[in-house]
Amino acid sequence: MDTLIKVENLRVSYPVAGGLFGRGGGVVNAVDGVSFEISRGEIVGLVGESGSGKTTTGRAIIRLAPVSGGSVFYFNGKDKTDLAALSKREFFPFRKKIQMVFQDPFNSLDPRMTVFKILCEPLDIYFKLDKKAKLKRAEELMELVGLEPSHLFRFPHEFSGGQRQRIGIARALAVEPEFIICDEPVSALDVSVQAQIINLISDLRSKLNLTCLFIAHDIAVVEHISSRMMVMTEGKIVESGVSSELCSNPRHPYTRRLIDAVPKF
Amino acid sequence: MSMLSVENLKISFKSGGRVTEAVKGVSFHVDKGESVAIVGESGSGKSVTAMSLARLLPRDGSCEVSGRALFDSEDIFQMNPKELRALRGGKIAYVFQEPSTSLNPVFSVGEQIAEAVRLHRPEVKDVRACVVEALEEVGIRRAAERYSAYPHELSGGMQQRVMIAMALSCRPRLLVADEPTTALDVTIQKQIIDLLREILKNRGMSMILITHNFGIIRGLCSRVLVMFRGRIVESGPTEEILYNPKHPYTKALIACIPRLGRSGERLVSIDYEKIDREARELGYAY
Repeated sequence: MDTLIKVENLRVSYPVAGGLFGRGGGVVNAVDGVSFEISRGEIVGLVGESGSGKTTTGRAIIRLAPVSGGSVFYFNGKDKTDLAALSKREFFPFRKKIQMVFQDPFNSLDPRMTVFKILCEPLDIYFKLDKKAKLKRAEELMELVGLEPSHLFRFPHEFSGGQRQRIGIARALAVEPEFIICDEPVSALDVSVQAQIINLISDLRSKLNLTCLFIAHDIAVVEHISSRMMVMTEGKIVESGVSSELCSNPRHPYTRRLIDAVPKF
Repeated sequence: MSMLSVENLKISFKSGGRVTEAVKGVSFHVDKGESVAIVGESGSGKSVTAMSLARLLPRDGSCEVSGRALFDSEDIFQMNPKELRALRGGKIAYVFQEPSTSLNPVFSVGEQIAEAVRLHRPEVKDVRACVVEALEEVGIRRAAERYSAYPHELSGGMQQRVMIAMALSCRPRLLVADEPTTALDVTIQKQIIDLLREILKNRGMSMILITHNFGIIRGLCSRVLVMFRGRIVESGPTEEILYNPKHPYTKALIACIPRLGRSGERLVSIDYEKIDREARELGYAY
């Protein structure tokens, strides 16, 4: 398999205030020695409850959370780079390769920017495009995520939750990334809209040959979209495997608990 | 005789000279001890229907409500302010979607529940003990200590338990739960649903549960009303609707729920044009 990302013994820990004047507190290990690999073109799910460390793992890969130990190797053919060891300047080109889609489509879009402006921000950073080319690219992106290109000059509040999440996805795709991290992209949406967004992400994966880490708390959602999944709790991955096998034959009691919580009918 | 009976409820909103009809003539009833679910997507009018039952909609002229809502044969829409104060919290209590924004961040959770108890149950002598008991009933451990906790010190699931304790503390006869688990993890969602089921059984209370997810109502609500574009398109016993839905919209809403054991399968997404076409063919009025 053609590996794209290899995470080795990743740790993220935060100091906890405690004792007199906040000194003498311990540390909390949000991510406690996590290792996994993701191959090119694959959608891998990461499931767990709030506080399990799944979001922090995603954020640490893209360096939105401070890495306290371990490595995140990014493969380019035979070359590999440890993202965790790079300086801010050295990391810059990788920001283009790795993009993120956030949970809350209401808070992750600037309410004072039109969709066009939202999509142009990443374009301006990485590409030198004239105004006409930018408009063309922005229209392409709108079509790609199933939005009306004529709505480019509307503001986020004029869109529904599902449409806003499409804008969030378009923004992530603007710089032509190889790898996207979707952090609970559907948990703020109605079930009917969830289905649309999940289908969109899997369509985009095959169309653009994207690789994706899909983070969610609902194991049924993750089983639908991912080929492999990892179950995380208390900062550790407790079980991982092929999604369908893992869901039909869970080994770890925590995985069973997640499966039990899915409404059945 | 139903405890709550809503007849031909219409709600419209005015903004910028435009009138939007959110609810277009809805009728339903809730019996004593019965639990009814209203299922629909965002914009179907399910939340405003629920809000109108305690007159929680804006009264600045931007919103018009017509029809009748009889609670114990008294029309809620004709009540004076004093009667409304007794109704809200005392007879009908609400639990909303987002516990973190429903709670006041500057008061301890115990104080917030105590305020409701003092207002609606002046006969209670030891308010603190009553609040602690309410917290225990919703499964909060070390309730006496948690009395003085602030909302930010509690997890989302715990906050929602506090909201439920607050709603129950005044012994309402009807609980309106508007998407009570949508902001929570699935595991916590299950705990909250189990808790609600337990409480309804113990208290013989009625409930209206508003949700967009058909998956959570089984075993919790005996009847379902499906709302679509301001109308109830289908209603009936939960099991019947879940396993034998008739209206194309109900079918679509049930089909799009992600289920286990369908790895790699494409999820069904709702095709509104198809629903309209099929509904017309089947003779559903629009």
